Amino acid sequence: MSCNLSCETFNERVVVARFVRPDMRDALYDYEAIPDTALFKELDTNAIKPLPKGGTLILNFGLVDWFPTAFYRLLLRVREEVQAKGCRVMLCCLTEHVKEGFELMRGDKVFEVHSTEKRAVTAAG
Amino acid sequence: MSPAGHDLPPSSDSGRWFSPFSSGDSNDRAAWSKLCNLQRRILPQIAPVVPGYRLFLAYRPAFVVTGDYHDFFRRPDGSAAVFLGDGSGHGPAASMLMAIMRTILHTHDVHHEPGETLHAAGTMFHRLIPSDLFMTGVYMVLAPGGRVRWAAAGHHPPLWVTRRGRLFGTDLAPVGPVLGFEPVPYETVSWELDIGDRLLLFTDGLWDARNAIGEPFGRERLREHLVGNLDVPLADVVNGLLARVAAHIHGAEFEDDFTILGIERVG
Repeated sequence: MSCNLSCETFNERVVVARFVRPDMRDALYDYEAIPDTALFKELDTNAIKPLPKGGTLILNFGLVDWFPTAFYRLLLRVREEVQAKGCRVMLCCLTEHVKEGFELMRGDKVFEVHSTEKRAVTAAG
Repeated sequence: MSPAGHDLPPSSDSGRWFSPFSSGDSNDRAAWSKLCNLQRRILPQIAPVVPGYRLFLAYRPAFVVTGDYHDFFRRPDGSAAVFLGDGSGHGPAASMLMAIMRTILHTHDVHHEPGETLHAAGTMFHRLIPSDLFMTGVYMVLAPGGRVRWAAAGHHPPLWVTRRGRLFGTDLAPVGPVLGFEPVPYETVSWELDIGDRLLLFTDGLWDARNAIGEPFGRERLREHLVGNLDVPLADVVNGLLARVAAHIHGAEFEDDFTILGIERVG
């Protein structure tokens, strides 16, 4: 069961994972590796594993208000897993607080970012 | 390079360390104290004397030890350099990252132009750590005559306020990706400071400190504080900033490590 995500599949090739709470730290903060965190496990089960080869994972940040470095660590790890499957990852709907931290860490140079989910889905083809 | 910038003479009254312990800590306190003390021994507690500049340092771990890393180096050409970084996460896990970066910066020939330094250090760091860990950082060279050069990796650029109150360092364009991600080139930025101009280097634990309703202190308040205190001594600017952040969070504990380094050109 997923309590941090709402996932939806489009055209059998695009999986959208929407984070459903503003503060995910209780699913991220521990001293284990990112794959052992609750949030990564949920993403892996509900969004990464269902991705077909050549598919796209879209992460929707519309409800997220807190972007600690652990969240960026999670994104880097997700990117690695998704690329290893021959897929790609996009982000959309970054809120002001998320955008501030994300751009400072130059996530905009590493990830493809779209302003809306619709645009991301369209770009994913 | 000798450990912890010890080849640069320490100045008097140029730094503050804030104890992370409160009176309610558990029986593990003794063990944590040892770890805390060890880190205090390897991190400079005060800023060194750098000809032509005045420096003031303050830092505080969020939990026993810090993932923030500050250090000072005398470079082969005689100029001084500063590194200020922030390991991902905080506490003991993040302190491992600062220890790795410290080893790289003290034991390898990486002290060249700032962009080259970050590229070389970042490449080694990338080889040594798991792919989901990283460090942000800024490396700055303080040369005679007010000439400073810096590069930044996923880290806020230094803020530069002139003695007339003009502010620079808000443009993120020269900032490259975080260290540890993948080896990439970093841009070196050159500035010429006049006497009285100030720089502020800091980690995100400062501006991201949040009050009870989740509102961060924010970079705008930080800039405003720097520009609004041009006639205040540098140490008071740093201490005043800490007081403002503490007031913002209404005396609650800082949730993240913070480090601030104020620099002023004096000659």
